[in-house]
Parts: sequence; C-alpha cells; structure tokens
Amino acid sequence: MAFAFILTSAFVLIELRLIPETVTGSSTRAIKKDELIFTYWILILLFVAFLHAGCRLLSGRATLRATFTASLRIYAFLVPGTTLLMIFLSQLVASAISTYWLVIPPLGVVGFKPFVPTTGNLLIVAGFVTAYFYLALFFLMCTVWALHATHKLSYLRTCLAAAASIGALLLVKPFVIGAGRRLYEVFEPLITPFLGGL
Amino acid sequence: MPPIAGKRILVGLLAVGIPYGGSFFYLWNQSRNVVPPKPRLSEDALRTLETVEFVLNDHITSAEANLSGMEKDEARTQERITWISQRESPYGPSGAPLLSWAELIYRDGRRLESSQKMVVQEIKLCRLVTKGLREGIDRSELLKTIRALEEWAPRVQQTIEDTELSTKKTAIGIGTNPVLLAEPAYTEWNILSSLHYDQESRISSLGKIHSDLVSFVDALKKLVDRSPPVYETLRFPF
Repeated sequence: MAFAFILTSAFVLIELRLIPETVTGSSTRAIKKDELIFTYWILILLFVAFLHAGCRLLSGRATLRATFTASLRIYAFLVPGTTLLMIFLSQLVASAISTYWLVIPPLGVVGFKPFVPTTGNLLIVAGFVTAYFYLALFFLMCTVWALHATHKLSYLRTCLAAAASIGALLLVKPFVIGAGRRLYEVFEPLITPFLGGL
Repeated sequence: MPPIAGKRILVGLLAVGIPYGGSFFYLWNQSRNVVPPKPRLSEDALRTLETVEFVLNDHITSAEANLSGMEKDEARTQERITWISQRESPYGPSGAPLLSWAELIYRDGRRLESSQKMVVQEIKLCRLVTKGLREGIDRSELLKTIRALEEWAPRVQQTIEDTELSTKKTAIGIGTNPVLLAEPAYTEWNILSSLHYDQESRISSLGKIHSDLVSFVDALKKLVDRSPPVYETLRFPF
C-alpha cells in the first residue's frame, strides 16, 4: 500500500509538471500538491471505513482489519493503475481539444479551462466520459468483489453497502477536505520532505 | 456469421453506445446552459474597480465636453476663414498669410477632433473592461477587449503624434511678426492665436491621457490574468 501511495503520488507530481504554468496561471501555484495527495488518501481510507460500516449494518461478518486488508490490497493495484490510465487519457483528450485537465487519484478529474463546446469536442469528451464510466464501474466491481468475499454477503447487499458508502462519502467530502487541510497543516513537516523527495 | 456472434456485437455496441450517447447528450445539454462563473475578486479589489470606473466616467464626460468645445472652435475658425477670405476684408496685404494660417488651424482642429474621439473610445473600452471585471464577465471576453485596446493604442498614438506635429508646424507657419501687423489684422491674429494655443494645450493633454491609458490597460491585463481561472466547468464526482 505504501508503494502504491508513493507510485500514485509520483504520477500526480509528474502530471502537475506536464501542465504549463503559463496556461493555468496562478492556480498551479495555488495547488498544494502534497496537501492534495494527502487529502485524497484520507478520503480513500474513509471510504473503506464507510464500506465496512455499511457491510456490518447489512449483516457482514468481517472485522474492520479484514475489510481494510481486502480493500487496500485491491486499491494498491487499482489506484495507481486507474490514476495512470486517467492521466494518459486526459492528456490525450485535453491535447485534442486544447485544454488542460488535472487527474486527482483515484478517479477525480478537474478541467482547468472550459473547452469550446463544438460538436467535435463534445464527441471527443463523450469518449473520455465513456472510458471514465467503465473505469469507475471496474473500480466499483472490484470493491464489490472484495467485500463480497470478505463479508460473505450477497451481491445485492454488497452493492447496497457500496452505494450507501459512496453516498455517505459524497456527503461528507467537503468537510473531510476541510479537515484534511487542517490535518495536513499539522503533519506538513513530516509529509513535505517525504513527498518532496519524489 | 453464427447468431451468437451477432448478439455479442449488438451487446458490445449497446454497452459502448449507451454510455457514449448519454455522455454526449449530458455534455451537450451542459454546454447549452453554461453560465460563466464570476471571478472571485476581493472586496478591496471590487471597491478599487468601482472608483476606477467612476474616474473613467468622469474622464468620458469631460472628454465629451471637450469635443463639443472643439466643434465650437472649429465653427469659429470657419467663421474667421469666411470673414478673412471675403473681398471687402480690411486686412490688406496681411489677409493672405492670416487666411492660410486660419486654414491650417482649421485642419489642425479637425485632426484634434478625430484624436479626441479615438481617446474617448479608448476610455470607453477601458470602462467596459473595468465593468466586466467587476460584474464577472468571462476572462477570455475581457482579454479580447484588452487585446483590441492594445492593438488600437499605436494607431491612437500615431494620430496624436501627427496632430502634435501638425500643430507645431502651424505654430511655425504663423511666421508673421504680430508687432508689424496693423489694426484690425493684429486683433484677427490674436483671435487666431488664441484658437491655436487652445489646440496646442489640448493635444498635449490628450497625449498624456493616452499614455496614462496605455499603462492602465497594462495594469488591467495583469489584473485579468491574475484573477482566478475558471476550472469549475468540468468536475467529475469522485
């Protein structure tokens, strides 16, 4: 998991270097890359905690440790993989429609510049959204498989638990990002040298 | 082709086509309802922009008042030309130089008027950018106006310089030593020279206003560049 964390962070750092500062202006400087990576990893951990709570509510039998082990073992491959693929796809699409996108692990995409909505551009972006949809679906399916195996729940219940966890995560996301920032400020002296070396 | 392969192709096409069509429709629908988000400027910046807009409004009012003053001066010069060129004009041999001088002053007046109009236009465009910044018009639109202003500036500068040069030439063209002029030619010379000096002072202040505007446009450009970029249009859920 630590290796996945380093790998994903490295991908994001390379991606940030690919975006020319002249195009994004001050916003590139405004992005605190370390803080960004830190917050998204907190969100992933929280998501797994929600998944565990959801499964337990629906009569799941695994311990918190087992849920974390199963989920993070999958995410250790999924997160760097999807991040890399998303970066590749977003760079490809963004260069085709002359804009700049930032991929935030595991599946976040932020457009820096609104693209001109011509038919050609819409067709290209729709292609990207379709690829994104299948990636997200694969991510979800892997999660469901892992939970199904660990908690010995039916697929229907596991899907329900996953859907409830996504809903809960979307609800608390703004608060978590705020809290993540504060936490980052506390741990900054520890995190910055670690990520700065990448 | 066995029927099972056809079914698989159909399922594959549907599996790609439905999300693709859905995404396209979603994006198309979004692009129709895009409302440019307002640049998030600080309260201080907004207050400064309001003050700047007020000053620009004031400049426009006074520049427009100057324009009507110029039109009146032109009418007066035209009046003098008509009077001097009349056969019964009492100026004798001084009539011809006075007439050519009045004609030069009239031409300068026309040039000055067009320079003034250009500067008024420049101030109005600056006001448009300031207002746009304050009201949150999309940055790219503001940059278009700023680019137009930057392209316009050398032409305005050239026109002002031409007018300035022409006014200086007119000052030399006066040639006549007013002390040698007898009345009523001397009085006529005084009327024309007051018109000419008005033009000289106006063109020099116009040059200053224009150079101030050039620096102002530069500052506006930096401000527009510094305002936060729009990156809210595309945001995926996770």
